[in-house]
Amino acid sequence: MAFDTSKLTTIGMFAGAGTLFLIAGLTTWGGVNRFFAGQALGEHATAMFVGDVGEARQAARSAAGWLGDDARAVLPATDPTDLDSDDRLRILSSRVPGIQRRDVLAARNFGRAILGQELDIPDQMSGGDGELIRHLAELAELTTGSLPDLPELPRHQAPSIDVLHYTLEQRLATAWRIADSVGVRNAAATLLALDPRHPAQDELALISVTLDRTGNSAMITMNAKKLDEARRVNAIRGLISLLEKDSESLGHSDRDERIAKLINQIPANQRSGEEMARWMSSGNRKLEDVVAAAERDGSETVVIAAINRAFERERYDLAKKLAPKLPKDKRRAVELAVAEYTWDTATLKQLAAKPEEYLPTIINPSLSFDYLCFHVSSPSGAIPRQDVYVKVNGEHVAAHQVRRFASLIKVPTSPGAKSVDLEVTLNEDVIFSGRVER
Amino acid sequence: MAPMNLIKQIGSVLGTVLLLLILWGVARWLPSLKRVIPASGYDDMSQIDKDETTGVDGTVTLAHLRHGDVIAFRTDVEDDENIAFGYVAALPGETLRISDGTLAVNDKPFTDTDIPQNMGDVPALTIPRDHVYVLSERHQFDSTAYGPIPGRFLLGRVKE
Repeated sequence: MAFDTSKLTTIGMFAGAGTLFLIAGLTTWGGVNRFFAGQALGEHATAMFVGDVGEARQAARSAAGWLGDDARAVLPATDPTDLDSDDRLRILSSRVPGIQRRDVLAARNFGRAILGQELDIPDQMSGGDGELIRHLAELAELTTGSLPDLPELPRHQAPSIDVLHYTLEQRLATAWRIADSVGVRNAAATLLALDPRHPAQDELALISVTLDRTGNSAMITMNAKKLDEARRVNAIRGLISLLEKDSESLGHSDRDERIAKLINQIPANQRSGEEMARWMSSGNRKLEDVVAAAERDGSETVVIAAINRAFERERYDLAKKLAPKLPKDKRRAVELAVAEYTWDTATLKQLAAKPEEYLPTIINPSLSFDYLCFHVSSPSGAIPRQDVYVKVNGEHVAAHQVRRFASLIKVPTSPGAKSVDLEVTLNEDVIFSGRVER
Repeated sequence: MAPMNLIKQIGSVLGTVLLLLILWGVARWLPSLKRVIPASGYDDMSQIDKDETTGVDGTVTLAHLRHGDVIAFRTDVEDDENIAFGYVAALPGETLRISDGTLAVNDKPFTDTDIPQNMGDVPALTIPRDHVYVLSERHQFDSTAYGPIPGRFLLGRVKE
């Protein structure tokens, strides 16, 4: 059987053409896959950029469907919190080229970090993502001290935005956990710079300005007002708690001032008793407003804070006005204190078990050549603010001649007198009557 | 007749190969489709004269960009009309710091445009891969408002 040369040539040519067709077909199919995977990845990036997570997820799955052995297409579709991902990524890491292996290993450990699992960090996991994942392991072990700096990242192996974003969030959480307010401020500012439209952007801005040494109260107010009431109260309470734990980073006065500014931003009807008390004792508030707020609030902590404020400003009338808001024993103590400071002897005699412990007395009367000195105060040291009427040898000393220096009272006497009869009257009660000798 | 048949067969095979080469070429070309953008309707960069025709070199990728380049990029929708402009301040892998109202990239101050006055200090931010940090005059659509811009949104470098 002889072969026809022409037929043989034709078969050979068709075989060659078939091979070429196959190669071209595969290349074309690869191109089509790359094209649609690229389109899907583009849609994924767009959806991520506009924050449409559902659409992003769908686009990523579509990309992975077109290019199942390419880490660039598979990784966006991989949910690192999915328990099955770990195995899938381990297998993928052995199938992809070296340059992609680094990313797959990073993604695998990224998932483990999110799930709180032990990290498996091989040497090949280099690059920006690798460094950040090592940093995550370091953060997880931190329980005290201050937040470490972000590691230097290799310039030509920049991290992926997802790993960087997560690392910055973890830095913020860690700094918060160890109560490092400088670390919290820096982590919040960096996170906000990376993602200005972060879901907690307003909280981050509030944290950043509150903990910034140069931040002013107007910025605190402005940023607090951007938050709705519930989120504002939550953020402020968190910040106050952080500031209370970290007394070193900001000086005491700075810290207290910022806490006061923050409490100012909590709506009055939502302030706790302690917050209300702090609000009252901070800043230059009008005492009448403080008392009115305490009357409205009615809680014991708040009323006591307002009473203290009234005592500080010697507004015993306002302290007395608030006393009925307190339980019986505390009310009595306040009324007694008011009576002591106002030298209300009638009330003292009525309320005090031992009125003499509260009643004003004359201390150390001493006669000099032409004047007489004595101190007037209660046994507990309260100094009367009212006018003191003094009689020397039965003669009333004119008010302008009675000189007072806190508790010390000085009145003129006849020059050279060896002794005088002294009578001191306060609130129509004679508190001293007797002879004073040189 | 035999030589004629042979010529026909060679011709059909070569035709098939040519067709396949064209298909292969199309497949290679598909993923790198270039975009063309209109050259008007921009309102962000004050120094771009709207009366002049402003072109955008759409062949430029992230790898070609340098600090201070003026680039055009999409904002947040798939719409060629929504385009913003800005100066390239930092490239992938570079570290950006903001201190006392001054932005520095890899410790070198960036002076082409200011940052917003209310932007506090930022200790160190590494620009992620496939992203670029962009600043514009009014900061409406730049990285201070959106964060680093993904390369996917880059339309090209403005030809002045």
